[in-house]
Amino acid sequence: MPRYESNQTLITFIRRLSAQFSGFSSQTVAMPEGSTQMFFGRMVYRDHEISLALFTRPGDKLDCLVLSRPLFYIPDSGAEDVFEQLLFFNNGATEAVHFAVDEPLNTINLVCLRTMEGMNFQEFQYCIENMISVARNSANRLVPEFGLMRYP
Amino acid sequence: MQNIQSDQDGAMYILTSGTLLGRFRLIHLLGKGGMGEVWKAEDPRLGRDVAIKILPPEMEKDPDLRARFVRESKILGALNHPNIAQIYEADEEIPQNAVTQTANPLPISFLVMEFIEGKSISEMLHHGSLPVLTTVRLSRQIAIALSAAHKAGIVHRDLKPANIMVNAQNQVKVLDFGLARPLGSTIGDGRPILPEVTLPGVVMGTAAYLAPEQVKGQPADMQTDLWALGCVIYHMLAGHRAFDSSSVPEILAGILRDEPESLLKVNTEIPSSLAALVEKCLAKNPEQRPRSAKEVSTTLRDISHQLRYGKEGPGKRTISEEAEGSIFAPKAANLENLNRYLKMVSPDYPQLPPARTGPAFIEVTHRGVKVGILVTAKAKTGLDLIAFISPVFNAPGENLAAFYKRLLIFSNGHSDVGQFALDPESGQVNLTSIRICEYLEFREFQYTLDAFSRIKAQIAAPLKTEFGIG
Repeated sequence: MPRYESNQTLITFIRRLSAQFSGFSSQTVAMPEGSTQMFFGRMVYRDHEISLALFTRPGDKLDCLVLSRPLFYIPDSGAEDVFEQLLFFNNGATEAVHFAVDEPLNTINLVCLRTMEGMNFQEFQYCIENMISVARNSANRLVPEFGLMRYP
Repeated sequence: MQNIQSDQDGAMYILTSGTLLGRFRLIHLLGKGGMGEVWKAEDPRLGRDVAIKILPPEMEKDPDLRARFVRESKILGALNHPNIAQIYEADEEIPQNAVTQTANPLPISFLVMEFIEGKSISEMLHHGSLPVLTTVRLSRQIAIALSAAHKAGIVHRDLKPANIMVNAQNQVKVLDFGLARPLGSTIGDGRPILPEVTLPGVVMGTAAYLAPEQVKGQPADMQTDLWALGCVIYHMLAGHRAFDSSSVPEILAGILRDEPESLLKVNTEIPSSLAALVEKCLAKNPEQRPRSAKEVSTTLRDISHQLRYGKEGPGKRTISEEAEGSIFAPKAANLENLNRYLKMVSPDYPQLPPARTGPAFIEVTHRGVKVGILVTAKAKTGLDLIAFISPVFNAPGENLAAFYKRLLIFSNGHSDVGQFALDPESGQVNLTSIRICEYLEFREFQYTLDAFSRIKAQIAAPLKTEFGIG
C-alpha cells in the first residue's frame, strides 16, 4: 500500500494547482509480481481530465504515480501506421510523458509514470503541463493525418 | 443463382443457393476461374459466413492433383497470418439439395476459407491508378504476407490483383496461396500447365503477371512471387499492366523480351526509390530481384516514411513544445550530480564526460543490461533532460500492428518507469525513460536502472518469443 506521506503530498500538489479533485478510492490490483493496493483518483485541470493512480510495486519500497489522459479511440483502419507514429514520438519527442494503449478502453492515452521519491511540486506541475501540451499538439497533428476520433 | 459442377465420373450437379455441402449452406456464387468456383456460404455451427472454393472437375479427375489439394490445404490451414485469407478446413461431401443427374453421385472436394468483405485490388483498379501512398501501404502488406508464406515454405505462384482483397479497414488479405500452382507454373513432374492459361476469362488476368521463368515452363519459387508483386505494384501506380496486349502470346513474348515503360514517366508523383524497387522486382533474371519479400517490405516501409514525413524522416518531428528548440550542453552541476549517482550505483561505472557544445553520453552495463545515458539541455525550459535508452530488439518483419499495439499496451503503466519507443533510423525497439535532471534523486536514478533489467526479463523476453524475433 502506498505510504500516507505520498498520498498527502499528492493531494497538496493537486490543491496547489487549483485543480478539481474527486479524492482517492482504493482497489486491489494484480501485477506480475503479486497483488497490490492502488489508489485511484481523477483531477480536472484546464479542462483536461487526468486520472491518477498511486501504488507500490510488490517487493519495492518506492511509491509510483501514474498520470493518464485518454486522447483518441484506436482507429478501425490504419492502426499500424498510427501505432508506429506514436512509438516514434515515444523516442524522445514527448519528454516527460509518453503514448500508450489502454486495451480495455480501446483508447490511445498519454501516460506519465514517476516514483514519488523526491518529487516536488515543480516536477509534478511540469508533468501535468507537459501532458496538456502534448495532448493539444497531438490532436493538431494526429487527427488530420490519421482521422483519429477524439476521446470525449 | 445456380451453377453446374461435375464429379469425377462427369456426373452433373447443379449447385444453387441453398445447396448444402456438409454443414455449409451455399448463399451465392462469388466468382469463377481456372481454380474452380467460389461461393459465399454460411457456417451455421459457428454462425459466420465463409467462402467455399470448389475444386474444378478437371482437378477432381486427377488423383495427384486431388492429393496435393488436400496436402497443400493442410499446410495453408496452419498458416495463420492477418494478411492472408485463413483456410479453415478442406473436405469432400456429396452436395445436398443440388440437382444431380446420376443415381450414385460422388463427393466433390472443397475448401472452406475466411470470407472477406471488401474489394479486390482488381476492382479498385477499375477506376484507374491508386494514390502513391495507398499503393505503398497496400503493397507493404502484400510483401509481409508473402514473407510469412515464404518463411513457411509456401510460394503463391499466381499473385495478381484479383487474388488480393482489401477489407473496409484497408487491411490486405491475399487469397489462393499455393493453390494456384496449375496456372502458369509446373506441377510436380515438371510438366508445364500453360495451356490452361488460355482458359476463357482466366487469360489476361493471369498471363500478365507471369514471371519469365514461368513462361519458360521452369519451376516457380519465391523470386517468382516478387516478380508478380512488382507487376501488381506497377499496375496500381500506372493504372495499366506492366506487360499488356490484346493477345496472350504477345503478353508472354513481352514478358520475356520487353522492359515496361518507366514509372517515373507514367506518374511524376512516384518517388524514384519506389520506381527503382518495382524495376528490381521486374528483373528478368530472378537472381537480380530483391533477395526476399522481407527486403521488399522493409524498403516499402522506408518509402512510406519518406512520403509521410519528407526527407528528414519521422525522427525529426516533435510533439511537445518543451521538446522544441535547440539542444545545448547540459549544466556542469547536473553532470557532476549524475556522476556522483553513477559512482554510488557502482564505482566501476564510467563517468559522463564534460559537455561544452552538445549532449553528454555514456553507456553502462547494469545487471547485464546495456543502458545508454544521454544528458541534454533544452533552450525553451532551461531544464536538463536525462534519457535512459536500452535497445531491446528489431521490430519483426510482419504482424507489425499487433506487435506495436503490445508495446503500447505495456507502456500503459505495465513497463514500470520505462516506455517502449521506435528508433526511426534503425527501426529498432528501445526501452526508454526520460527524466528532468534537476528533479532526479539518487533513489529514482537507481530505481530506473534496476527497472530496465526487470522489464527486459519480464516483458521483452516473452515478446521476443511471441513474435519470433531472433
